Amino acid sequence: MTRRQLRVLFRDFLFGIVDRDVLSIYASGDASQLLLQLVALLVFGSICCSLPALTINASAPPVVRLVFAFGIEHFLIATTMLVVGIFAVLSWNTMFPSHNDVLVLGPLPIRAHTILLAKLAAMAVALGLTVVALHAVSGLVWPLAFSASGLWVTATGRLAGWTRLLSAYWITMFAAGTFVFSLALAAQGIAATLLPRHYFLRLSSVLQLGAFCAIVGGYLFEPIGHPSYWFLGLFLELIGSPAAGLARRAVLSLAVAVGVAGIVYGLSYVRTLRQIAEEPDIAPTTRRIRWLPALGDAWHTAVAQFSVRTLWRSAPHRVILAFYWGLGCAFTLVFLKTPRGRHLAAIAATGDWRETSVPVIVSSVLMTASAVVAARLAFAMPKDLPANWIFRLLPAMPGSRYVSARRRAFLLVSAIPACLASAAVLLSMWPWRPAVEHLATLALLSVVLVEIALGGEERIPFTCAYRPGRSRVHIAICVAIVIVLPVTIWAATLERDALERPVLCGAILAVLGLVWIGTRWWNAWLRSTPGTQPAFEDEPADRLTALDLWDSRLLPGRSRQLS
Amino acid sequence: MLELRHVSKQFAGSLAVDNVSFSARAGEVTGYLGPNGSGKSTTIKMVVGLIDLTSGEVCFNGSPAHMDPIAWKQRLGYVPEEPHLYTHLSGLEYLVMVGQLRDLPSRPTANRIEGLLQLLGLHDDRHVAISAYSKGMRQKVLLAAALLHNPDLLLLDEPFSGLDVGSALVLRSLIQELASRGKVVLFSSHELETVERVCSHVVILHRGKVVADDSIARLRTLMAVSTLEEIFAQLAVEQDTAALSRQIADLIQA
Repeated sequence: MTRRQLRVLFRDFLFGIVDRDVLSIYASGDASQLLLQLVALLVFGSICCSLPALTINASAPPVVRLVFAFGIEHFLIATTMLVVGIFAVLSWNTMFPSHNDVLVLGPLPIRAHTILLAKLAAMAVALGLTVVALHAVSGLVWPLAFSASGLWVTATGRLAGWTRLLSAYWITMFAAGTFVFSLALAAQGIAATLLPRHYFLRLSSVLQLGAFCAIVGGYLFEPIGHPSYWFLGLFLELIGSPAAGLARRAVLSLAVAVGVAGIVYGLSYVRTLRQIAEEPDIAPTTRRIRWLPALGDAWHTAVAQFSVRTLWRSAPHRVILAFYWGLGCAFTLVFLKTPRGRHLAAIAATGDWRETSVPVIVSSVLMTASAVVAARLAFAMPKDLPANWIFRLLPAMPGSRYVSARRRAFLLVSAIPACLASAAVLLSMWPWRPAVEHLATLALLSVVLVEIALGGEERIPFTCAYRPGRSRVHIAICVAIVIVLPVTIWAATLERDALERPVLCGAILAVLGLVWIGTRWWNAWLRSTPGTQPAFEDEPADRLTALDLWDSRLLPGRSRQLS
Repeated sequence: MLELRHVSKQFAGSLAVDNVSFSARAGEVTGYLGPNGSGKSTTIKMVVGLIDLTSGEVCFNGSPAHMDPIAWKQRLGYVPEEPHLYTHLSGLEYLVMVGQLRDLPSRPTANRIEGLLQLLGLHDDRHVAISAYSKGMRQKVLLAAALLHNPDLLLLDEPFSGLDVGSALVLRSLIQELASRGKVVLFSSHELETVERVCSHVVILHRGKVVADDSIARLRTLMAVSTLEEIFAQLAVEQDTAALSRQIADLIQA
């Protein structure tokens, strides 16, 4: 009986391993379809990662080939850690049994350890599948390429050398992936073991955000001592190149991570099961800060507070927010890592604030822009869509009311936190006058960005249906790299000069002020129609099916018009 | 016969169920009544084994139920108050999964699922994800899952929630039919009219304590009232309902 139960539970847990809240947005609840899409995406990534193998020049000097091989191998290890890390973040809420799991499976004749085994097996298979899919092509191509170019071939022959390379490659990748996943599991397990459940639930979402930022930031920044170098050492040790120190560190850290994760997961699993079941139907109140400031009249306060509370309490929305804040951090870190950034940082030791101002200005602008973009995308994703009937029942009101309510929500969750963070950094690094001048510029820029983000239809955050693919993340990132970053650097240089010339600084502030008034007026003019109802559907049904790709005249309304 | 002996449940800071004792006999439907927060669902969850008892004992046919929780769970069917389901599965997939987890033989279970889906009016939507089901449809899935293994004991916590009139009538008859076939049925509901029609014996809970445990007919005689609603109002309703409703109306008009 247990084996059959194990099989059934394993299958269900495996298909549910990615957070279903996220899944329902992107795959309409079809878990198997989403898993296949993820595997296909990883295999495609594997093919892309294999393409540089074609460029290996066998006639190049051995040192050049060796440096190239080191670089590629390190890149592959770091990418494995990134992908497994993102997988761990996405499956964060499914690592432990949910409230629903306990209540659905609790009344059935299933032993607790059967559920535990099924959960562990599902996680192990999902982790294995991720690593295998990510290296489905590169895991064969690169060992072959290294071997063919005469790198790391042992005296026992080319086939033996290739086999050893192949084994070392896969062992290293699995070890790196297991290390990252175990860290995520251990972090949750320690929190679940030590904290009461309601504190754990709150801390868990903060840990999830922190893990996401650390993984993305760590991948792009790759500081010395990043674990990816330990696993590069392990790879080298396995193929016979001496890197004992790093390899030892990799093995030790892997053992510690797996051991700690195993112990705390086992302990916290039993505790979590009991705690979930013991939750009373009517929970006693706990002391917590419930206060949020009033943000205008009752209508504005209601929408803005609803937005802040939803963003704070909804895990998928927090992940979106973390993703874009993480990207902002990553851009900043990458920029600071450039030769120019490093040169400026070295000059900073002289204490001349002016020399360090351009990277700091660029960083603060990028973080503010990321915050506004993050809020825009998070607001567009619905939360409990059927519950939006309460907003649908409200009497129609001028469109400007919806815009001003959304504006306050935007300011509260994006512009104000970003400006406050910048203020803390700037006031500790710079003399007060340029710091205040830049903060004024940043504040004006952030309100301009918020006005731009308010474009489009009237919507109340989190209440409108979302059509996947609208965010066009890839386009946004390309635009950011190709256009926004150079323009920001140019503008930062201009501002740096202006910070020492009050007249020029005043002129910049005046221009930004005029742009702000202009965008605000534009938003107000667009929504001057009285009695507007906000949009609750992303697209009309006919557009969803037709997509307007063939001929707009074929649409029912249009064809009637033509006839 | 299901017996609860001095069952209590203490949550942090509050005693949700306080020394509850009663029995539900085979062949009759026992109504389990009480206002919101009186401890009905907590008691049922303790009987199911979802939560541990702080003290006391649950016995079935004279033996302690929780000595062998697996064997115990094989004998009971449970319809929870909230429709906790895996909503990404279709109704059919969910019932097949429950059958597999209960280790029921595949072919007869498939036929039984097919029959239940037909009889409960879910057959046309059997391949639709439960997330798209209405509240009543979800309730029917829960009911089918509870009946799938032909349990000896049925624990029904607000089973009429969300059901349309026709389905509610069917369920009412079904409960009586199952009891007449020798099953123990413990039935919790706020619909006193239904309880009065279906149950011969009621247990009324108030603030975690049993305040009445008898047949409806005897309670009527003892309390000199004519309906179960009046019995309930005397035992478990503390407010003057007419005064309270006047206060609410005054408040919204102020």
